[in-house]
Amino acid sequence: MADPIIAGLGVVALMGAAATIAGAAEDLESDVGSMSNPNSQVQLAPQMGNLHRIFNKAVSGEPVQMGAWAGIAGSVAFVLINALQLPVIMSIAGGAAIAALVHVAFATTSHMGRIVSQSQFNQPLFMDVVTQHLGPIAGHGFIVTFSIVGLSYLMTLPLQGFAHPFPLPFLAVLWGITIGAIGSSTGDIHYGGEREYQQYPFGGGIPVAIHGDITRKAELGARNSMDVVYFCAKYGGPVTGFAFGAIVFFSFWSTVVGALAGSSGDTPLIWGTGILFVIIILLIIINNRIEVFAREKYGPYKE
Amino acid sequence: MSAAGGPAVNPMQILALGLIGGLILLYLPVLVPLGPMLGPLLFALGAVVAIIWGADAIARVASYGLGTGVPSIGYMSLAIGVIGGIAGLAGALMFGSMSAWLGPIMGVVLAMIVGAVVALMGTQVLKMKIPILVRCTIELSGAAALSVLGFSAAIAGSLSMAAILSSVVATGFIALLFILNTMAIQHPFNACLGPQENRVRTLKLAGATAFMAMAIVGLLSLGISKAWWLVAIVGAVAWFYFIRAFIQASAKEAASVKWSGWWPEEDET
Repeated sequence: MADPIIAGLGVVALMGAAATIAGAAEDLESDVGSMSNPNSQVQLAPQMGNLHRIFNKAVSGEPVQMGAWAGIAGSVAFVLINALQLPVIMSIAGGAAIAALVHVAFATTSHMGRIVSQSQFNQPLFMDVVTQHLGPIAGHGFIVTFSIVGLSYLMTLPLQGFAHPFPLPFLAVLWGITIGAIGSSTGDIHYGGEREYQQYPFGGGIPVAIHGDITRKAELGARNSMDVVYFCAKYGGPVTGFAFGAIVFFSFWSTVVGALAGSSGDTPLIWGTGILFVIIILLIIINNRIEVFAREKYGPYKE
Repeated sequence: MSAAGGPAVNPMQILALGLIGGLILLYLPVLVPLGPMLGPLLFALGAVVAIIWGADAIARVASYGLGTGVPSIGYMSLAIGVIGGIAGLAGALMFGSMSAWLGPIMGVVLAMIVGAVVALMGTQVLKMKIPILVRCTIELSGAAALSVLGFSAAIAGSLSMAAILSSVVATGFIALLFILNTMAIQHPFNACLGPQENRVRTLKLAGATAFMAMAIVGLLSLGISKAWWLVAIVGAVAWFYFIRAFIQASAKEAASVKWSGWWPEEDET
């Protein structure tokens, strides 16, 4: 048996990797469907006379959506592991596949419902938009739920610093809500503020006068949500993955390393919390330095 | 079209279907020995009618321009429903084990009381000016409690507190039921909101989301209940029926349905 701290660090690294992949995929999934903040502008566009070919996936906020899909995947995986004794990887893949099916049904009905309920503005219901976008939506969603349930499962392993007392479905729901929140807060700006209003200068905010006047034409033909994903995959997705990966990595790394001070009772937890506190202070300072540097170097947005 | 005129669906009928129908479906397997196959099926169907009732209640209250608040009031009601439902099951045991049958009714009533308190806070303290907020929040809380109780009983195979505690709460499925029923109740109106919202079409979608949740509940009871495949298959077949009806209604009511091409030229600016 290896040193428990070394084994723990290995698990933490794996969890960080899964979280990074999940974060990137989650942001891109929300971009394919125009969820969350950008959604209100896609919804508003036809009322302003701007008809479009963009997917309107008004399922709910990202946190609850991802909590539901990850919860379904985690619960089905939990059943497959315990009731059918299937291998863990296969069970998680099976759970994520069921969640992807539910995801597709919700995505289709939300797009159709929202478009049809504003038929007075003549927005056509483009069926090819529905069918073409379902694949990327389901695919990205599968990657997210697989990674989230995977890292939730790793948390329950009987290892020092892990062995979480909550059952897998519970952890999957909680982590699903967390990834949705991170994806919504970190990733949205790269679609909502940047890509959706590409014909206006970036950094000027979105004044009420231009609400609903979203970019509807692409380099060739009408813009669809796939064009949005190509753009967001360059920066918005990876930076979301980095943010979520860092959160998962640091929060578990600190308690595993905290065991160096002594592995009895609450000692690892107390030391881990202390280490985490120092990390957070450092991150606040680094964030402030980066922002001050960027403002001085590139200057404020000018009229 | 229901948007401008009165609702196309009578809210009292939906209320009766959800509350009375739901309670009958929940109590029938308790009162009449139906065996291990039919019991969970009826429990799950009780949750389905409760979800349809909840979806109608949310559509009525959210028509006052709740917008992004549609999902929020859904989660709020499910939070109340989970607390009320479990508290009702546990509270009924205070009167001795003979009165355990009181559990579901107590759960629904407790949830409705908590819902009333929350809604009165909204109208009296926060001064929210939504005329039917109190009534609809009470309805939503009752629907949420019934849906959680029904699906919990479908997984556990019985409405007893001990069975639900060991096979729904201890396994963590209760967290999924919370968020899955939230989605099933809030999604129909959230997906269909807009000036041309048609309540009949919205309720078709409510049937689809409710039966989809039922199919998943069937999968979850694999290994706990013998009737898992029956619940899952009935849920999946009924889901197919409702989502087909919803897609056909959408195609009929859309401004136009196209498989390719641009949007209409006259709107080019």
